[in-house]
Amino acid sequence: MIRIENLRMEFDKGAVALDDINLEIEKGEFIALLGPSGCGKSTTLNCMAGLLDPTSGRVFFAGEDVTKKAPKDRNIGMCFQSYALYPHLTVLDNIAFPLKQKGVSKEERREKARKIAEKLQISHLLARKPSQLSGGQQQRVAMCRALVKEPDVLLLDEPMSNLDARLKIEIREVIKKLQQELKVTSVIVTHDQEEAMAIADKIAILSEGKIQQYDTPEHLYEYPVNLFVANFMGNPPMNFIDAKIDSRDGETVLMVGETPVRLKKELQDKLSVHLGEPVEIGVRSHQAYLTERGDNSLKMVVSMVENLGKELLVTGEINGNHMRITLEETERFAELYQRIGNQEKPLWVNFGSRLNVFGGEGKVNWAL
Amino acid sequence: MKKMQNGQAYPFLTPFMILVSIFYIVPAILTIAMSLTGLDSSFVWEWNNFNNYRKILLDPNTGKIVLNTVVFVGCAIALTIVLDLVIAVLVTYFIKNESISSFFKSLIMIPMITPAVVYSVLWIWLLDASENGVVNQLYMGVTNSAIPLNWIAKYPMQIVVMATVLTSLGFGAINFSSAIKSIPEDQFKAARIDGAGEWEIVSGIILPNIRYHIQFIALWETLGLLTNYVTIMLITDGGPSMQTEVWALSAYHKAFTNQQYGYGAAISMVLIFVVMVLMLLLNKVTSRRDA
Repeated sequence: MIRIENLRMEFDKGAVALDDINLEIEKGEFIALLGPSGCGKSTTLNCMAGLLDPTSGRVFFAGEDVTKKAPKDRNIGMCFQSYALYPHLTVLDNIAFPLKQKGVSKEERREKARKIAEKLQISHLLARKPSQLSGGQQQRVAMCRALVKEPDVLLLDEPMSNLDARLKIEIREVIKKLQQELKVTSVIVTHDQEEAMAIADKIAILSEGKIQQYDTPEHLYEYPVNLFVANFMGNPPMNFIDAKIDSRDGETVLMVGETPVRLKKELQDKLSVHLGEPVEIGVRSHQAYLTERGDNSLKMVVSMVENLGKELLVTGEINGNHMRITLEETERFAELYQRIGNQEKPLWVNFGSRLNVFGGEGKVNWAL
Repeated sequence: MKKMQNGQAYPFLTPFMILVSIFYIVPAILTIAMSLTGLDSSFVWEWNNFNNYRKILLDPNTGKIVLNTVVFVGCAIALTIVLDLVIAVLVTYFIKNESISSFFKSLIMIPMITPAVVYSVLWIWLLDASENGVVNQLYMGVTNSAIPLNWIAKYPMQIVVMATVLTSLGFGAINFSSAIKSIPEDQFKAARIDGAGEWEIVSGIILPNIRYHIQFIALWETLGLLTNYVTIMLITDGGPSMQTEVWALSAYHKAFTNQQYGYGAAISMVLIFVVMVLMLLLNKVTSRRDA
């Protein structure tokens, strides 16, 4: 449905916002553009909308080159972070505005606006002005306005950033449900990885104007191609432990300080070519577990235990590296709490079998 | 606690209260009193009932002066607002380059910061009735006419309006321009995506967003135009034959040229009454904006 080819965007004074972006989005798919601020995700979206003219590269909608087309000729709906409702118009007129510009008759556009408003449960607000609405309600109005003209593509620019946590989850569900119902190809820009994972079929992670990885949320989480992606996905964030690839007794191992971490056969094969190089081991908090000394384990001195309700978050140091582990046995809280700062009573941590190993230039995941 | 704070405020206010009393309140009361006397060059304060006000109503020129005032203020205000909007939209919305738009904005500020006397003399010099006048040279050059025109005598009202409009352009245009700048960029983006053309963006997004600014400037400029007569006095002095005599200027003429202080004061009082009504309106507009 949408294809982006070699998109490049340079602003005045030579700042490169986008550097060779390639993206393919299937019809009816929901895509998230995820990245920290300044990574180029909004710029990419604005190029899709036609609000920005790319320096080079092309944008296709359903096989048709729309790079030079004006925003209004692309049949898109867009939602903004600030909602951008027209303050002098009532909610009904706000929603009907795009249809008015299309020359739809007054009765018809009001009818359509009412219908979409009903779908988003804001029928009782139609006579009000935007200033009389709460943030969540304004968000719904903005969604209605974006969808009322039955767009081919729905673009959402950080639509939930101004909402509180609870409302975010609510609106997220509304958007996802609506998208599935209308089967409109959608692109959402966000800096919230949780939001992206919850809502999108596929996520493109951007950094410094480049797509780092474009994949399903599951793949991004399990198989991050580099350290940037690994660091961005997941909460609590992945743990990174400094290590060195070495060989012991004919096996390739990862040396954390003086302690070797033994590896599965296939990982050994992958890492053996990088012998002697410094790496960072990436471990998810829930994939590492506590065990006995000697069970391929590393010593961790506890510095903090937090009870999160459904699990415990144990923070500590492994050879000078920050490490977080989640434990489901919440009854161990008191016992673990007593170990805080106690060098004599360390925990022994096994990293588990799902290791990521980041090394070389660009911190590529050598475990893939 | 609250009471004490209130008490402390008065000593701080006192110097200003004294200044305001001496220079504004006392003259205002004197004007009211004066308007009820037949005060003239002999400086005798003699109560003459409401004769001055009756005189205003009976003066055969009153109708002409009211009409002049309405025409002058109406035309000037309409022209000012329209030009302000055009300039503001052009320099803020259409010209995105910051330095170019600041250049234009400073350009329209020039008449505003030029002293009225210098500025008016400049107009008189430009429109000089002899063949040496700049406009006349242009006119004779373009039309091949051999006779120079006396522009000020021929089009006094048009010229006075034009001169006044130019001086008031800067204030409104800058005001509108910053108001347009404060409209969130997303609204323009949304409108463009919703299919609005440039004209719809101007009429459907910009104008409604700055409507309170427009109301404010319109009333503010009206007040200024009603009370300010300096430009007219310097260029035409109300002439020729009362064609540009407006209310404020007539008060000045009566009081200072004809030395009918009482009568002049009465004319001023009428003006003050009109201005006060407008001020109340202005207050209402600004308070509605806060709501």
